[in-house]
Order: sequence, then structure tokens, then C-alpha cells
Amino acid sequence: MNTVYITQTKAVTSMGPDLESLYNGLIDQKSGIAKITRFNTSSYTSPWAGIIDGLDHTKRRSKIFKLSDMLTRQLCAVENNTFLISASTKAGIDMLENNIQESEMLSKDLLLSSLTEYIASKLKLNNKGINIDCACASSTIAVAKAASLIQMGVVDSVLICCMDIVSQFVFSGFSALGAMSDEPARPFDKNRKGLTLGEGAAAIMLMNEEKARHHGNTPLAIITGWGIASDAAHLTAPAKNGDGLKLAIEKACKKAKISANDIHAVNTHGTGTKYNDSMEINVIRSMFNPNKVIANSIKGAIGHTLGAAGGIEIALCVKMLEKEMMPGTFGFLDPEKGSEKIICPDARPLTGDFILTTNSGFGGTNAAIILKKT
Amino acid sequence: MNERKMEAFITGIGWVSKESMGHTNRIQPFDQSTILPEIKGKDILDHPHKPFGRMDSFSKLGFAAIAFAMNDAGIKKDEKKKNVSMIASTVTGCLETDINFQKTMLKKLPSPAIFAYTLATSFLGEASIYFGLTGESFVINEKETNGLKGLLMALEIINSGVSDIVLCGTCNSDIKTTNADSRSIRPGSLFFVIEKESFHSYGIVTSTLLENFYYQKDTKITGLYDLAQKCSTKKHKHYKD
Repeated sequence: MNTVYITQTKAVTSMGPDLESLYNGLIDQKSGIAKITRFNTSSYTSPWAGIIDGLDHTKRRSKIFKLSDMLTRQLCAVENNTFLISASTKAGIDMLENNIQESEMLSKDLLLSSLTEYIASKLKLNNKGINIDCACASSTIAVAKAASLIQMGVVDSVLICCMDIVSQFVFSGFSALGAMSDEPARPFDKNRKGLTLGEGAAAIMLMNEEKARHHGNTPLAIITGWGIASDAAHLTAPAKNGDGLKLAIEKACKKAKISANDIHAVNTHGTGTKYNDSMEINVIRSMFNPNKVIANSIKGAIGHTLGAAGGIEIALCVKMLEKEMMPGTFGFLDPEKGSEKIICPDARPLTGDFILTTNSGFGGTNAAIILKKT
Repeated sequence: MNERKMEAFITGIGWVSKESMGHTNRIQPFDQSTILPEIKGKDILDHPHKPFGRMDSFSKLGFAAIAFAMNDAGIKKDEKKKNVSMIASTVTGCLETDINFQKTMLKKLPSPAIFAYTLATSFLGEASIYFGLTGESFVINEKETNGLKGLLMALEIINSGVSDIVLCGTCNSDIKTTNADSRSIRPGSLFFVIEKESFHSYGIVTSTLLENFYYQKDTKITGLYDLAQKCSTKKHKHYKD
């Protein structure tokens, strides 16, 4: 079985144009969330989102392609036989507003595969790749599947590019569901009112040892474990008992050949909704030593970036392992019962060799990834 | 790089097309074969299932093929949760549902009921709830219409020991885009149940690397519909060597 190395990590978020600005902004307790000017929010339950500077100038094509350019131009050389997996939930959905007449042929930008095709073409890859869509766990699952394909020897390198934008389409939907907070999200806070949307992108390059050595890449981290599981309980709400998330974490620990006690740090999904955060804190308390483990959420600072969330958080976890520091949880002021000793309000030193990151999504999906220091 | 060969048994097939729906032992043909059928819960399920009626048409399409394939494989719905995974390949995704939601949005009354189905994975979530499936589940979007990358992922799940049973298939609405390949999209849904072990199957499906897929070890397959055609002879007993 091959070892799976992470050799490149890049990101674009509302905190800044690269991964460094995200990490530094979080450590300095900054926020990328602001009032939206992209569209009129007066009829929605929130005016807030994590918006990236420079995307609003795009008119003819979807903003997702501009975001893709902002991400891929940061990448160091990508060999053309690298297998591409993109991850997005709605990609170019902002183009639907121009395309609503039924008689008209719909723009191909609306197909999620158009994003994959665009990235493959920009990077001159010799495969068309695939997009993985699984709600808010899309990119976590993309990384898990890529790791498995490398471990099994099906491919020797995979580039994962994940992204989603803030569109009026998605914004109005979450508003209609009553899932958004009227103030910036406050994950794990006792007075949290819901989520704040955000946009963002991340790129993660995975290689087997031979490929990494051949390219002279210094591995940034090792993906040792991954697990995916379904709640089989509810379409839009998490299972209250957290069984699906527990199962995903158990699978990841089994794959990594470690016990939950070996994990001292957890990057949570932490959306700021009542049900999600309660479920997660109960799972952490039941599976890990609450006196030893620390956890955070970055969604209070950059918003919930949907299909990109997992990839951005994995890239950030690599940075956390390198710097041996976990950023705090923006907006976490008054702890939810049970989260007091676990959730970091500000930056804390990271101990141990492993970090766990998890995401959950509509459809009852859950995914967990375990990273190890090199 | 090692050439890793992965294989599994095909134990169930279910579909919905403009011409017919069902599985090999229960085919329901349609008189009008120019549009996809309007699917009703009683057509596919033995017991009433209220949530089926509120699903969008894309979800009904995918859910129905999964239900037919499960029935064909003899996997029953019961109270016990099952480690079964699901992978769906799609080109169109739930674009038709997106358009319906957008219309409610433009009327300043965005519908939360429709929004819940503006993810192509929604029908996998519905199937997971109905059948109690706790394995992996996700959708693959690709320009290719053959669905073989989904089959690759299904074989990976079985051969890496994640699940012993995987539902793998394709689901597409009857919708046209400016994509040059949109004419090759086959509207409808087709799902296979593939299993690690079986003595009663349609045969073995094998893959080596990303591009090579075979039926019964030596007949190359070009896509999931091609595979279904090759399996369409009567299900036979397969005895392992």
C-alpha cells in the first residue's frame, strides 16, 4: 500500500488571496465577513457573507472561473498526467439568472463538469478529471477518494481543486430554510443563530512517495486516515446522536491505525447552526478525552464555503501542523454547555502528531480526514 | 506504478428510461416513449413511502432505479442499517430542479421545499434514509457520459474493504445545454448493485487503472449502458474457480 503525501496546498478566501493570509488572519482573530453588495439582501434573513475581493467584476462567465484562475495561478508545476478531482456543489449556478427562459439552450457553465474541464484545460492536463459533489462534505470526500486511489496504486498523483461562490441562488435558499444567522455566525456559542455563507477555494496536491521524490517535493504532511459515512436519518438536518459522524471518524482512525486518544486536535465543521454544533460537541466529548483534545471552527471568520469548506480546512490543518498552532474560533464568546474546555476561543499550541478534520452535509453525509506531521 | 486489478460481482440492475422501467424480472414498458415517465411511489415500492411524493423529478428518477436494483439483488428494506455505499454519475445533475427553484426565487418566494433538492446528491440521501444505508455516498459529475469513473470508484470501495455492497449508476434529466456532448446524454437512470462475493450474479466486472473495464474478465465495456446490455441475458449462477 502506498503512503499518501500532501505536496502542495493553496487557498483563496474572504480573508485574503492565499493560504498564508488565511492562517495569519485567523491567528490574529480577524474576520473576512462583511455586508454583501453583490445583490440586494433586503428580503433575506441575513446581509452577511464572506466575499472575495475581485470576483464581482466578472460578468460574461460565472464567477467560479475567475475564482479558479485565482487559485490555479498559485500552483507550482503540475505534471500533465496528474489526475484531477474538482469539488463543488453549485459551481457556475450564478449563470442561471441569465438563462432562465425555458426555450433557450442552457449555458454549459451550469454543468459542474464545466469547472473540471476548465481547470484541466488551464493546467494542460491530459485527463478531463471528475467533479465530486456531496453537499458540504464534497471536498473532504474528494481528498478521501484521491488518497484511496493513490494508496491502492490506481493513480500516483491527484490534484484536488475545490471551490464554491456566494450566489443569490444559494443565499436565498439558505434564507428560505431559516438556516442563516442575522449576525456573523458564532460557532459553538450558546447564543448562535445559524450559519453565514462564504466563498472560497483550495488546491491540494497528493502524491505517492515515488512521485513526490521524483519531483523533489518536500512532503508537507501525510494523509493517514479517511472515513465517509451516512446518517441515514434526515435529508437536511444532522442525526442528533451523531452516529454518522462517529462512524466516519472510527473508519478514519482504523485506516490510520491509531486510536481516538492519539488525536489531540480537531478542526470541526462548526457551522454555527444549533443542531450541527450540538451534535459535533457531543461526538467529540464521547470519542475523545475532553481534557486533552482541542478543537476549533473557522466558519465564524470566513463563512461556510460549502463544497470548498473541507478542502480549505485540510489545507489549513497542514499549516497548523507546520506551525504547531491552532487558530481560535471567531465569534465564540459564550460557550455552549460542554464546549468550554474543548473549543479554542483564541490560538492555542498544537500537541501530538495528528490532526482530525471533519465535515457533514445535506443528505446526512459525513467525512473525516486524519493528517500526520512529516 | 503498480497495475492494480479490481473486480466485483453484478447482482442487481434497475432502470428508468423513456421506453420502460424496472429490472430484468419485472419490466414495465411505456406506450409513449418520447418523454420520461411520471414515477409514482406505488410503481416502485411495496409499501407507501410519503416522502417520495415530495421529491423532485430528478430524485424520483434516481431513487426509482436504486429501488429496482435493490429489489433485483434481493436486498430488502428492514430496520437494520446496512454498510452499503452509493455512487451516482451525472452530466445534467439536478439542473431542472435548479430552474424550478430559480423561478420561485424570482417571484420573491424562494421555496425551501424545492431548495432541499437543488443538490444532485439529494436522492442518494433519500435512498440512504429509506433503505438504512450508512456507507459512502456521493455524486460524480463529468463530461463523459459513460459513467465508468463511478464504476471505478465503486470497485475501489469494494476492493479497499470499505463496503461489500455498492450501488453504482447514472442519472440524467432530459435537458439540453450548450455542451457539445449533450446529445449523447441518455435521459433516465440506471443502477447496478455490485458485491464483493456472490454465487448468483450477472457476472464479474473488472477494472485496471483508470480507463480499462471488462465484463467477465475479457469483454471490454464502453459504459454503464453497454455493461447493462451485456448483463441482459438471464441472471445465471456463477461459481468461483
